Amino acid sequence: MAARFLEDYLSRNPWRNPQTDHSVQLLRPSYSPNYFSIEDIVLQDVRVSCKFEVSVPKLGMLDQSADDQDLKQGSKVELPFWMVPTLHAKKVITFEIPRHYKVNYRQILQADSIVVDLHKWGPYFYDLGQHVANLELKDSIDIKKSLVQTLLNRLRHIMDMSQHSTHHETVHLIANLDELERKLFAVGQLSYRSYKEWVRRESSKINTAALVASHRKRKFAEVTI
Amino acid sequence: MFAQRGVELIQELERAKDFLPPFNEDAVRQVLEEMRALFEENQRDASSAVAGESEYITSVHIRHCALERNKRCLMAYLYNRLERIKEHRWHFGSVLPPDIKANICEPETQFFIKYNKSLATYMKSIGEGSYSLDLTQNLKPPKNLYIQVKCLTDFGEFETEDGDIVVLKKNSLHLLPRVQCELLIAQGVLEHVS
Repeated sequence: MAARFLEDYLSRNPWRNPQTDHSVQLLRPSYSPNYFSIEDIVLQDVRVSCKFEVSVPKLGMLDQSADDQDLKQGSKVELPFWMVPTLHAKKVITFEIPRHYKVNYRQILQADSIVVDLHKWGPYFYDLGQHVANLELKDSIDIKKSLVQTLLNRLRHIMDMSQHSTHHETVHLIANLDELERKLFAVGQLSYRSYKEWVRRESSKINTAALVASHRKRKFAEVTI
Repeated sequence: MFAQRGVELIQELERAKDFLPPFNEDAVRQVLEEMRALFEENQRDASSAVAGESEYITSVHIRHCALERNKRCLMAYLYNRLERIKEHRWHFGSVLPPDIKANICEPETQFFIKYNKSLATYMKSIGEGSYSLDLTQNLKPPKNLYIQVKCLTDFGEFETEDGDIVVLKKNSLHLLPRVQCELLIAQGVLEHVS
């Protein structure tokens, strides 16, 4: 089952109908091949600290602490991550890896991945990690290995929890998980609920369409307010 | 910082995961304004670089990055809205409730109409002669021809294909052919009772 989760995430199954199969919608990949992904755009807004190797005229506004018209060479600036790949490739900046992907944190993950609060380390830990590792730094291979290993270690725990939890306990259980793991958890819960439905012979029952139900609830809430 | 408005547009979509917020024309216009300003500055710097001063090249790169980012935000905003409109067709049927219609801008309405037409043409083309397949029905494998339904709202009179008129009052139970009631169940008027 772990293989099926990872396989689903890493390769979108072409024969699963997105209209009826909600797990496909939940696991839409957010990393670089997907230009339109909402999450990929939002997660790349995170600030990372960089040092400029060349002076950049007229763009002093990027550095909030200095009042210059121009950016001086050697100034440390907090840039949003979407600027980094181009500038790093052109050697305009030296990029400092965000601290959660550095050696000491990788060692913490190696020691025991399951208890780590990945949501605190960045709600998009794996996705940002992939973007950082793709920048061809000295540590790239180690970062990639550490990401894969962490996910493998935590996966069993996630699967276990998703198959055996009720609707109410969920908030406590997923508090430590980052966004990718939360999606996997939601898929697990969905599959467990479908199984239970099948056992109760309710899988042939036609339901109100999901959007219609939420539309009604919202209209009702507006009217009563 | 560049592309702030663009990310706000995207965050609007992220916050409203299961409905369509109104089309934020102002924000889109502001993003396009920012793109135009960046582009013009780049034009000036690029032409001075061609003229011989090569120190502006990095600024051009950075502004180009911001332009690409703005472009990506706008494209993703439009694309994701269209995807949600497509989903609406499958959940609501070909007629949208008026409050959803109010949130859709004019080109998106055109898209919806054309999508409906394409879907209808495709459904008619399956099979030979006048046989058409309604893809929005039977989304789950059917178990029986007739199903027991309970009415949830006062819908009024409903005419089935064989000509029988059924009065749908609240909490009344009926035994109806599956194909007739699937649309009403999806819209929440009837409830499938097993």
